[in-house]
Amino acid sequence: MIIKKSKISALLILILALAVGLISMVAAAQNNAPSDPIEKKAKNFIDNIKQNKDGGNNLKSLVDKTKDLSKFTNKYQVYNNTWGQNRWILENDGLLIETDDVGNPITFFNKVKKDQPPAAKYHGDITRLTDIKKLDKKTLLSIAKDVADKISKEEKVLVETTQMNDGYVAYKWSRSLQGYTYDTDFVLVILDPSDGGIVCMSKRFPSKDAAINIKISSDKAVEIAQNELMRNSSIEIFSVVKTELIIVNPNNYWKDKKDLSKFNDNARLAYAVTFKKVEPNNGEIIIWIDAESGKNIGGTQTR
Amino acid sequence: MFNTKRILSFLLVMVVTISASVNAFAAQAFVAYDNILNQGWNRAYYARDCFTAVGYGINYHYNDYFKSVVQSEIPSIRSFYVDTHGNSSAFSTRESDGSQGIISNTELGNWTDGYYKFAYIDACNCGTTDAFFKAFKMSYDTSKHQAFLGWQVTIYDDWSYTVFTRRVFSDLKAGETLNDSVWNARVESGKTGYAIYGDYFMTMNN
Repeated sequence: MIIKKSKISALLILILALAVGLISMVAAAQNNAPSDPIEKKAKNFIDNIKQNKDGGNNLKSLVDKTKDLSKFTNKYQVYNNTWGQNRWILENDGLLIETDDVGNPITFFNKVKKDQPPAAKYHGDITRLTDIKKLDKKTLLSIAKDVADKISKEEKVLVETTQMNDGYVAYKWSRSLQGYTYDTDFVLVILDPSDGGIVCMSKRFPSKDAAINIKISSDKAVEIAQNELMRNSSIEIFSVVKTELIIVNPNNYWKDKKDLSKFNDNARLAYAVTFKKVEPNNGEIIIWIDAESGKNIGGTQTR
Repeated sequence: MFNTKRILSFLLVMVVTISASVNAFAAQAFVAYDNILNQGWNRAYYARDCFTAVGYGINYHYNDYFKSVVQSEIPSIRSFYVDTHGNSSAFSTRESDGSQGIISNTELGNWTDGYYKFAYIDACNCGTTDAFFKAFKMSYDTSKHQAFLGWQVTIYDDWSYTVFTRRVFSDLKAGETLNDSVWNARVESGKTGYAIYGDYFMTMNN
């Protein structure tokens, strides 16, 4: 009987140990690989952007602040009325990730960098930031390109590099299709020039794919644009500055019935004809002539 | 059994509280747009909404956004938003005959008087230097919690710039700092050519 009892006890202990082990393994697995598909995508995204291609750590400023970057303490859904989308926000002490409604990341914030812009202590005077050691431009651009490709695999063209007023450096890509750039859709990457760390990044591709049909010539587009503007007697135009084919979101800017209260995601390939104007203000006006129909579909003006 | 002293103290506290509230709500903000810009109304709407929410009365102008109106009202307003044309040293108004009025930073500096909490000139290049910040007699002393926001680049009357301004004012209205507000605005709009002078971490309530 004594032997039997001890056997049963040993068996029970073994079962208990196995159960505890199993529970621990499940818990550990849950910590490392969240079952929530939105969190899973966000975690994969963080793992992907942590390392830059040169072996450095894009997020090293966050290491001291947040030990486990993939562990989110706050998750909620918001509706963005600018672009008319539902989004998920996931955040912890160190970072914030915004995704589209199915979990594809569209925004990343490094909160440490956000709360300490280098120029804040000089109240915006970046000329006083000369004491900051910066990485060279080529290295920074290489990091920015690498990061941009992690948030967007789509075709895009680098259109801007800006030394920002807060001391950071911004790189902006326009979404493109068969070489034609979108006027609105972009990828933005902002880096800290002192260490190449990611400050923030965002991807906004709100436009639908445009059809690439070109039925009128550049000269014809300029002629149509000039005629359209001559109807508007309050604008005195000077000369054509440039004409380029881009993908725009029609807004009927130069017509009486404008459509400017919300974003139009029906993108069109158009000739953007830019004129220098003198009256009633100096500046430029841009008129969009649809590359397929030849119609005036809108534009903009400088302020 | 009424305690006269207590009642009087209570009434005194009430009077002081009500006066303080009236005082806070007596502050005026100036919001205007040049109606030659098709989306000016959209951006100005958000400015007006933000200032109203934090307790300002609004001096709102579009059909009468004249230079003389700015000159007469600027000494008594405490926050300022205009949506118009500009350059590094001046911004414009729209006069009754349709012509452009020009207000230089020097002129503005001669008209401003007292403390200004927040000013945003939403026009090309008005934030290239701190000239307008100084015209509003703002201080780099962050304990004053005041700031100027402007652009260092040529800007357009388009949806993306509208998104930027709408987001800045929506977030300020929600109690965010100016730094957080422009941060959110830039990732949403892709626009990065702005400049802040003064206290990056001011809110509309501090």
